[in-house]
Parts: sequence; C-alpha cells; structure tokens
Amino acid sequence: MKPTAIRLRSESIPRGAPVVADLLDAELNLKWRGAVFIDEPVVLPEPLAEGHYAVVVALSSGRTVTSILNVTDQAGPEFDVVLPSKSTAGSDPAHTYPSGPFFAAASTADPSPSYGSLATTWARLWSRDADQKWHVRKWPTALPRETKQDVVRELETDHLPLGQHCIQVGSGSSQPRVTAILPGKVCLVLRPARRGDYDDRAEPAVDVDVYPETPAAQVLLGYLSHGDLERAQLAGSEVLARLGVDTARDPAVAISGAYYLLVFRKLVELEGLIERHLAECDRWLPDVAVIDAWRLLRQEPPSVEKARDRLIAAAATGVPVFTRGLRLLLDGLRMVALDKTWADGAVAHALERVRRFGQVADWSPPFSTYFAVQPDTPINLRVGMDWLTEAQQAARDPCNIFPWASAVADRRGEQASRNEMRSHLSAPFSRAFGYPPSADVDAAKKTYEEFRKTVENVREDAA
Amino acid sequence: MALLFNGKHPPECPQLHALIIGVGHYPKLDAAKSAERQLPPLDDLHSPPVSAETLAHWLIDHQAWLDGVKLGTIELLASRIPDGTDRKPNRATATLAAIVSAYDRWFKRCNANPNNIAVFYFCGHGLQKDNMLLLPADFSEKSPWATAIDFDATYRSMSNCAAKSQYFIIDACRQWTQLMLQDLHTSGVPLGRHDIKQQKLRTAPRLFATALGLPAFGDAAGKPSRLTDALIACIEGKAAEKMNGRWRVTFQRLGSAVYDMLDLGNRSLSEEQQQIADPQIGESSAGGRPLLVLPENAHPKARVEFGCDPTEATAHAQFYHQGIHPPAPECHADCRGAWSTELLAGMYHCGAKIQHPRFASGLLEGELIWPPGRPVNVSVAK
Repeated sequence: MKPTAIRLRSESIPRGAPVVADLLDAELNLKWRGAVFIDEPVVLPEPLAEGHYAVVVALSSGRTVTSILNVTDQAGPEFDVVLPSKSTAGSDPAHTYPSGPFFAAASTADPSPSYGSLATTWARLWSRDADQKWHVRKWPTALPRETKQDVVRELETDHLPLGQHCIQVGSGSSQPRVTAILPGKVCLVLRPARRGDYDDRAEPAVDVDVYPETPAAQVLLGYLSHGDLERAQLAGSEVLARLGVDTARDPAVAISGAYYLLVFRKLVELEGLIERHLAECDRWLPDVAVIDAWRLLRQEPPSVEKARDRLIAAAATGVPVFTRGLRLLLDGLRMVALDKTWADGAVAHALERVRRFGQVADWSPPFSTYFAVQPDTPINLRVGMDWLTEAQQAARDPCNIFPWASAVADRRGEQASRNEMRSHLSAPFSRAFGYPPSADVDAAKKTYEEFRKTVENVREDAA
Repeated sequence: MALLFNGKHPPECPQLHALIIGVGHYPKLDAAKSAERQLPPLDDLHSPPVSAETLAHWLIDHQAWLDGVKLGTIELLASRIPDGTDRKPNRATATLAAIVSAYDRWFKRCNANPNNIAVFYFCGHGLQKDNMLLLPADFSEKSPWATAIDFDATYRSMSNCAAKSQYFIIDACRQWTQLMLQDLHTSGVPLGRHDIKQQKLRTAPRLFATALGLPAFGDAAGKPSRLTDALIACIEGKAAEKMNGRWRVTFQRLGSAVYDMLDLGNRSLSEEQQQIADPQIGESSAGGRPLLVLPENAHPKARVEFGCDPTEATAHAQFYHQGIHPPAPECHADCRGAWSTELLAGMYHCGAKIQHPRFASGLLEGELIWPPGRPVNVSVAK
C-alpha cells in the first residue's frame, strides 16, 4: 500500500503547532508544500511511490529541519516523519528550540556576550488600569543576578488580564526600552543585544523577544516577521480555518490572524474576524482600530473618513502592541494628514502623538519597542527629557559630562586624582540611579537635580 | 541619460521595468560637518555604483530567463567616486532631481500594464528613524532632510501603480545616532505622489540589506556589495526551487534565500562583520508569481559548510562527500579543517574522517543539499 498521508512528530515542537512542510523527491522536485499540524496527519494530493523523499520543515524563525524518508512497498497508508531536534543550521538543539518558545528567533542561536551584559539588567512589568494610567505591576519573577554574560534568559509572566501591558528593560546606563506584550501568559527571552550606533556609544544593551503562549500565534507571527510570504500565507489560512468561537479569550491568535488577512487583503474575512473575535478588544487594543482603518482604506471604494476616525481612535488608545500596527498607524495618519480633504487638527494631534513613539521605536521586533522612561513617555530630548540623557551620560563617564572635573584632576597631575574624582561623582550617581531607576519620572528628575547639587559641592570642594 | 536599456516592447506586453540607483560619490558631504549636524560620519562609498551596474547588466544578460515577461527598461543612475579615468562620462548622476525624474518615467512605464513587474533598487547611504531615508548624491549635511529620499513614503506611492508585482531592494545601512533619534525634524522627500483613494492590489516584498540599526557591507573596491552579490547569486540559481522538472526563482522565495546566503557567509566572519538581511513581506494582495526560469539544462549549485559536532573536532577532520542523486564519486577536502564548497543540488553522503583519541569518524547518509545551501555538521563524538 502506498502512503497517502504523512504525520509529523517532534519532541521539541508542541503538539498542534502549525508548520509549513515541503515534500521533495530524490531529484529535489517539489512534490507538495503545505501547512501541517504537529502530530496530526495530512493527506497528500497523490500517494507516495517507492523511493527516497525529504521532508523539509521551515520553522518560522527561518531555520529548517529536514527528515529523509525511505518509502518502501511495506509502507502503510500513513507515514510518520520524526523531525530531528536539530536544525539544518547545525545549531545547538537548545538554541533551536528553547524550552519556552519553540520557534526561537534566529538571533537567539547566537548570543553575543560582547554586546551586552545580562548581569546589570533590570526589568519592570507595566499595566494600564481602568483610569488609563500606567502602573508598575508586582512581578514575582525576580531577575536572577547572574554574572555569566552569555546566557539567554527566559522569563514568564503570570496570566495577565485583558488590557495593555508592557515590559521595560534596561541594562547598565543604556536608555530603557519598553516592549508591548499581549495579555495572557507570555514568555519573554532576554538576550544581550547587538545594536549598532554610529556614535560609538555601545553600551550593554538587552533585547527582549516576546512569545505568546499559543503556538499558532507564534508561528504566524514568525512567518510574517521573517518575510516568508508563501509560508505565512499557507500557515495563516490553516490557522484561521481553526479559529474557534472562544478565540476572543486569546487575542494573540485573532490579532495575528487579522494582520495576516490585511497583508493578503482578504478584506471580507477580515471584517468577519474583527466582528467575531476582536470587537471586545477594541477599547484597549489599539491594533484593532488600526487594522480596521486599513481595511476601510483598502476596500472598494475606500472609506477615508471612517478610516481617519479609526486611526485617531487608535492613537488615543495607545501604542499598538505589534510593530506592524505602529507602522500602519503612522503611515495611515501621515497619508490622511497629507490629504487636504481629510486633514484636520485631530489628525495632526494624533500624528504628533504617534510620531513621538515612532521616532524612538525599534522597527525590527514584532512587538512595539521604543525607548521610554515609562510606557507613555518616550525618551526625546526635544520634549524636555534632556536631563535623562545627561544623567545617563554622567553615569557612563562623569568627567565627560562635567569637564571641570577632568580639568581639576589634570591640574593635580595625577591619574589617581582623576580616578578619585570619578568615584566622587559616580558614587552619588549610583545612589540616585540604582537599578532599576525610579518608575516615577518626576521623582527621578528630582533625584537627578539633587545629584547635580551634590556634584556642585564636589566641585567647590575640589577647587 | 539614465535609460540604460529599452526593449521597446508595446505596453500590452507584460514587462519588467527596473529603476536601479547606486550612489558612491557624495561631493557635498563632509564627515566632520556631518558629525556637527548629528549625522553619522558619512563618506564616499566604492561598492554602490559597481553593485548597481552589475545588477543592471545581469538583468540584460539574462533577460531570456524572465518567466512570462520581457525585459522592458532599465533606468540606471550611478555616481562613482571620480578617479580621473572615468570612461563613462555620460553616466547619469544619482542626484535627487535625476532620481525624481527617473522615478516618474519608471512609474509611468510600470503603470502601463497590471502584469508588469516593477523593480526598485537603491544602493548607497541610508539612515533609519521612523522612516527609512535614502541619500542621493547631492545629499548635504547643511539641510539634510531636504535632500533625503523618504523610502517608506515612496513605497506607499507605488501602491498607486497598476503593476501588481513590485520588488524593492534597499542595499544600505539602517543605522542611526542617539542624537539623530532625538531630532524631531528628521524627514525626507517622497518620490511620486500618493492618492489615498487609489491603492491598488499589489504583491510588493521589500528586501533590506541589513536589520534595523545595523550596517550593511560593501567589502572591496571594484566589487558589488555583499547583499547585491548574494542577490545575484540567488537569481542565478541559489533561490531556485524545482517545480515540474524546471528550476524556478519566485518572488516569494527570493528574500529568504538572500537571508540564508548571507547567514551562511556570516559563519566565517567576526561578529562585527556579520550582516543580517531583512526580507519583509510588505503588501501581498496580488498573489505570487514566478520571476525567472533557469535554462532547461541548468542545475544550480548549493553552498555547503562542513563542520563537526562537537565543533572542536572540526580542525582534526578531513571532510568528504559522495553524490547519490546525481551520482558522483567520493570527493575529499584538500586538507583538514572546516570546508566550504559548492555542490550540485542533490542528495549526498557526507562524512568526516578523523584520527583523534577523543573523536571518531562520522558519516551522514542521504543528506539533502539544496539551494542556496546549508551547513553540514557531522557527528564525531565517541
């Protein structure tokens, strides 16, 4: 009997996770490509003849795993394919599938100890309550104070309630960054960052990879983020076909599915998805209004006025959770602002607000990430946050920020004096800005002003 | 003139129209003044004009490979660093005005038929903030934002173009400075105009040379940049998939193949020299389409990086391979150690012969090697 179906099995990929598999014959002809759910059989368009085949599974990280099949005349109707636990990149299995997020971003395979340290990292979990104020959430998961630098650290949040949440991470004296996260249980992977900077101000920096709990959402987001157009389409259609009626409880799948439908301009299905699964999230998840606005812009004929209102509503709700959403919100508002028919004060106000976040955003991660002292306060010199940059530079090299200190030290003519001066300045700074720094911006600013006074005293003493 | 090639086909014939820009010479730039203006230390570049010209000529030389379209036109704007021996005085300089003008002509041609393919390629300096900025040859640090091209706005403008297949390749750095991050006035000039009510169906992937915040590399004078080199290798066969007996390169596969090619190359480079391509789906509402079909007898090669598991055994191993499909005799590396080679796509036995008290020889049977290539790690643990 010739096999008419294959079933993928894996120790590393969770059962029910969708992946896209290629079936190649021995001469590398692509016999079939399709979405497969782990541990579930998938029927092939035609039975497999005897011979060698390869099943190539493209993980949403961009890595692939390959299994060779030898189909003989003894084969049953269903052929089991056991996926190796190692990717074809040959990376360590633990890096290919970390214990938490199974489709691990490619970059986690290459932790870069030279670019940052996790030893000085602090992390803070923020949530936005009913009165729209952000507050720091009690987070029982304390960051272990390890000194080993080349460790990718995994954390899990508790089951976060419906609403806006984000994680703020800082390391050393680098500017803190905020990354939006979805409600529910989320796995966070902290890793030393490789972040280029023409200023040569490379500081220990940490990137955060966010993995929603649901494998389907992980996979779809991975394919979409990795630019894998065909696989995103294949996986997306399968994931959406399985969307259950209770998906509203897991917005990660619904919202990633909605982005998928928008990318592929399946607007009728998108409208249905929003109505069925995302309507309840609209008041706290800005992405819903952003997606709906672009649906309105792309439908025939476009409904620009409604789209404009939805974009303004999204900007008022907050920063979209997904980077794709932040990009679409910014682009949408810019397009409307350039059109005299639709531009008005509300559009300008919304654009200005979103641009403040966009200007300090990192557009690479799938989840919105930006430099910020707190979630609604992006770091921007021109809007009164210059003291923070100065404070951070002072932490790196006090003598550079306070040149008189170097001059005094130099006049004394001894390196020891310079070091002494440095420690004079560093000590009070460290007291003022321990890790993590204060969550309250006003309090932090006050602390820094007090620090400056201390510095002035040091100067007078030195003179 | 910027028009390097004109196939002179009628508009009803589906065509590929390319706008190819390579900016190496920036006469108005002064690295010191750039720093004063809070810009990265920008300077002249060797590889962009070479990269642009190489890609343009590859398309002309391989136009017979195009699948379902003819090569329509190629607009080439390239600015080389003057060396006193310029043998091509008529080459169009990639100033903002020249780019705007070439873009308008290109847009009009692409717009003539929905089955056209529009290819936009830029190689030169790039800056990234909330928008990606491309710097033309007359970019000046005196009023930087008046002479920078806003790529994101340009991408949006192209949504008004009828061509359903569009491909955007940006071979440029995407770095920023901390101070630039905080300049509220960072912006650029969009190419073309955008009508919010005229967004058409299109599949328009984008391929960035590097992930955000990181540099792209042009390795040597007179040679194309690393991304363009990988791109050309991919369209030459490294991005090919065999469908119905023929090797084809599709729009969908190209970006991830370039990513894989650079990723393979990174294995032998220091961390600072590694380059990570960033393929993006962009909009994808017009379905996929084949781009190239390789000649009937073509059999693409794949790059293979031999190594051992554990890694420390690699230096002691002599690697070999033997073809199963296509059949081929055993072939050994010239010496011990990591081995980077190219093999015809197919199925192979891959092995490592090793004489060491801690390790044993190993063999991987029936390894599949397909474009663009892959590492092969032979297990030699005792």
